[in-house]
Amino acid sequence: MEKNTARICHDLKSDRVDIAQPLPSYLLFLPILFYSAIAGAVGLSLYFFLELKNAEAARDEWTTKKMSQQGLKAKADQEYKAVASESRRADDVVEWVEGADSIQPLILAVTRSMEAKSTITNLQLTRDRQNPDQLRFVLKFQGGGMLQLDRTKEAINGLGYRMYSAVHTRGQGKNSRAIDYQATLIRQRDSNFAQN
Amino acid sequence: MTTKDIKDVLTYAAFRPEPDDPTAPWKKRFPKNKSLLLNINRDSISWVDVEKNGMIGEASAIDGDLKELAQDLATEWKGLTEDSWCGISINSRYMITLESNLTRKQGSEEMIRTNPRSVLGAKAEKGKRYSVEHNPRSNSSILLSVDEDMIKSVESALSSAGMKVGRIACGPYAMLLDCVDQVETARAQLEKGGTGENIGKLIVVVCCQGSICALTMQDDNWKELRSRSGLYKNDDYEPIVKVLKPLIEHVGEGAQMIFMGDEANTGLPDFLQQVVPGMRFSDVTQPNQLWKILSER
Repeated sequence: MEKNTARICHDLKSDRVDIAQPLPSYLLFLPILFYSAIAGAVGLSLYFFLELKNAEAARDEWTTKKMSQQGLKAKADQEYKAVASESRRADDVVEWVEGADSIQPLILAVTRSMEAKSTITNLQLTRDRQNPDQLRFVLKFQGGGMLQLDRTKEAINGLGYRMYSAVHTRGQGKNSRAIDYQATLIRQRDSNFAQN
Repeated sequence: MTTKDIKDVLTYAAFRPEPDDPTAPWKKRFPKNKSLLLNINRDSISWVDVEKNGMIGEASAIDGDLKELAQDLATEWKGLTEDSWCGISINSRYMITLESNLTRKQGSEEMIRTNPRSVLGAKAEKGKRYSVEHNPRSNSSILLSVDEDMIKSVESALSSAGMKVGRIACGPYAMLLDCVDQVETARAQLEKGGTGENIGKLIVVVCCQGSICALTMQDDNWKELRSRSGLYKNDDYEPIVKVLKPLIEHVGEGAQMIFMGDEANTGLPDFLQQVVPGMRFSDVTQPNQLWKILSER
């Protein structure tokens, strides 16, 4: 009986023939889906934009860090090169010391062969790159004369060295007691020293 | 499928009835748009704008014929709407009568719009458009007939002025049906209460800008109906007495008068109470009553 709530006012106008009925409510999902897709796209774009910004900021930060680390690396490389250079020099010293081991007995023998009245003013032992088994021996001393020279030569021979091209000269002047002796020392392979 | 169809789906317009869809109430046709309501009397026009929220604006009126005034007022009217859509209330060249034994086949109330002869039979006249409201408790029906020429001239005048007609109704008829609905609601509440109390004899009086329609009811029956358009003007209510007097005499003592005017706070209720001093009187008029019915239904 109660029709008033649902009553629609009468209409007398000339009806248009192509009046379309409203679409059913269940099709509301179409515009909702459309706007949701737009909202989603906008949201994702915003998300990706922010992520891109963050990524760019992170990239810049890492680039800065990389440059900083590269600077540190260059500094470390420089320090390493310096240390390596020092190490090389140390190795050279070690090599020199180790290389000098074989002539230390020779120097010791020359030094010990000197009498109390004789004084060494110059002692040079030079190894030739071309002939490393040969030593250029130069000795200058005061006092002791030829006797002292013979003692020294005897001590050198005792270590297994033979002297070649030996030249000895006396010092200039009437009272000079200096003797200058030069020779090439070659070690004998069959000597006892070499075997040791 | 056109671009407009896609646009309508995306703007949800496709899910709302079209502005001239007669199967939808006015407020559902313009849920977010302003619209205009016109009441066309014999020698005057009144109108209001309906806001987006359904609020009714201030009423305006002008004396004259629609054909002459439409062109001049079209600019103002278009300014009150968003798409030039308007709803019309015709208040002249109509007849409201009480009929009995009309066919009540399913859909007859809709069929009378397109094929009145199938509902009214020989009573159907050429050049008339009809609307019918059946009494669910008896075999009587209220029949509205309006001159087709009047409808076409209104459509033509407004169309040439650039207005779009969404609906053409008859204001007094719409008010009468609203009043009848209220009576039926009250009757249903009394029946629900189970007190055995009866709504009794009623005279339903509807006055709409110079037109009057009165219906007497007794128990479940609609007994007599009288309708006149352009009967009174301004505050001269005397012609109403001539229409009501026979009805009051026929209905007898103990009747109650239910009054509905097109606007509240007029002198009509006081006048009618003076006409029938001993009769119980109920004024069911609300502010903007005519516009309220047209804008909501």
